[in-house]
Amino acid sequence: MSAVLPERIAQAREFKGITKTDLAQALGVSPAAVAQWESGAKSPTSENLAALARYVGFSIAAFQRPFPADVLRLGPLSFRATINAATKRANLQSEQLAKLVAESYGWLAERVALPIPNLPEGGQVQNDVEQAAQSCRRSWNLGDRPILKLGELLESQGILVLRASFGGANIDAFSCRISGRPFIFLGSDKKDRARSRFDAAHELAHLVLHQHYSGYLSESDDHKELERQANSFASAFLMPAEIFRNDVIDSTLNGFLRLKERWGVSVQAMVVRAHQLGIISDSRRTELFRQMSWKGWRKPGGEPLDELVPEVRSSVGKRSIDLLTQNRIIQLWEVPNEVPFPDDVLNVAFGIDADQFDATTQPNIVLLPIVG
Amino acid sequence: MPISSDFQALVAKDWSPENLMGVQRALRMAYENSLSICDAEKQPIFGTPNRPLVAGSVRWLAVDYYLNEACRLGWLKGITAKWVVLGGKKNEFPCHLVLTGANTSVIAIHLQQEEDIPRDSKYRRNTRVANEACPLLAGFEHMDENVEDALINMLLVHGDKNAEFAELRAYYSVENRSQYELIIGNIMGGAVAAPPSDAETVSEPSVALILNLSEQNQPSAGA
Repeated sequence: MSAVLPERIAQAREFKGITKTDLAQALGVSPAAVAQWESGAKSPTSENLAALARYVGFSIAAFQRPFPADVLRLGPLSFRATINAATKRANLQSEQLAKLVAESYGWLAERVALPIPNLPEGGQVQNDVEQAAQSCRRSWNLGDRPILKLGELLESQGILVLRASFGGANIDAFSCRISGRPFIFLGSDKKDRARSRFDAAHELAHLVLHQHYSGYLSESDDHKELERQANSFASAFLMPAEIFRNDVIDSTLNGFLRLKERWGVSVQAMVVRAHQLGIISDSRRTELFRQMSWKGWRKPGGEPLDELVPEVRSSVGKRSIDLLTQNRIIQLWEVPNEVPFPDDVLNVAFGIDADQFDATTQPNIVLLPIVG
Repeated sequence: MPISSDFQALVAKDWSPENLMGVQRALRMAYENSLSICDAEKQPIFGTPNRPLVAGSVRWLAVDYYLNEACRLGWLKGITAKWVVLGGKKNEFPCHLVLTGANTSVIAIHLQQEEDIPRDSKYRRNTRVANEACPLLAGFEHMDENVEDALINMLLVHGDKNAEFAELRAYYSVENRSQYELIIGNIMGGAVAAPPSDAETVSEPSVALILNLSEQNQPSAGA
């Protein structure tokens, strides 16, 4: 049997979102034993390894799979979360998800030519976020009109957009660059389309503006400033000043609601943008926020007409797998053998439900040669 | 009852193709959302034989809600929405949402089948009485100068499971509830209405097989 990699054990535990003590309790071993497995001082017995694999949802092959060297090269990780709610463990869990997904895409990229990452260089214009957002639009050959197909746009520029459940963690979205490939992970639990679009644009901001940072942006000293920049960038990217300004004829809530479908952003985001551009005064902004609170629009999912806002769609993973199966490069049930990670990871990476990877659910068709 | 082409033109002023598109969108959204709300898989309390009763009420709420929103969002140009109380102990509800244009007044009602007769109500009876005397329906040439008094009252009948049909009808007989003039039919026909958009054009991200892989999997010519 190939050797078990200690780093994979730590990865599996972190992906599961549990402590060493939790894992030890679940497997009936001492926390010291788990620590030794993770440090490489000792290897788990085959029984413990099997129990570990069952518990964390990894196949045994995954524990023996060497890390591709470049997957460890992780760019800055940003977490878009409710303030103070992103715990370190939830961050680690998301980081491991990102690494496993990136590794899955590493496998995919050996078989399918994916869109080449095309992120504009935004670091220099970090102090002029408005200009950075405009430059990003220009470098992608966009004018100042609304962007409704945001997911398609990001993916066509080589930024992989994925939907993931962050469980109980209060994370809305996060982004990172792994091996030079940018990823945006959006929460799948959220039904609020307008907010999800803003989350995606906010993460794009981190990828463009803060690409020279490393580690967790949330642990950076200027985290609040980085978040402010990302919000301003998202706002300017989704609602370019000149055309948006011309659209705001009626600065009542109803007036903004009429623009929701056209711009695909929440009324709240439009009010903030209108204030930022000097279209409405401080007192008008305060009054509109008071009205929104009173109507319950500021609660998640509370703002009306979200159904008119297009979803952030992602298709690269699913279409790539379809391409491989349609050309008989691989069958769906073979994918988990090639990429031996938990079903959740494959589902996030490729947008395919776990049961479709199950050989027993595949059509039972055998091609027979024609005998002349 | 004859309807002159002048009259049709007058109706079309309120119910332009764009406004009818707005009605179509509102109805589709109302049906989709009410079906989603009453989905027994999402909400087990709807998994009882009484579901259709509640689902009908939810659809009724949803249709009026989205027609009201359609007015608010400017999808129905020149039309205003107003809630009219039909009675009740406290004179607060039930209410009809009445859509009023320059020449027409419309309330929405669901029918199981296109040929069903709308249930009677005091409001609908009153509108039939008004229609019977309405100079617009009787013929444009007799039209009263006072258009406000001569509003033609129409029902927006809609129905089937997924809003497969919707028509504007003017019921005009006090005694015979089945008699109506079809004013505008087939509102749900054609493509799903979407507002014209001036959004940026974005193409699908491209993915392609890496060439040598696809070649490896082609059957060889001499085999």
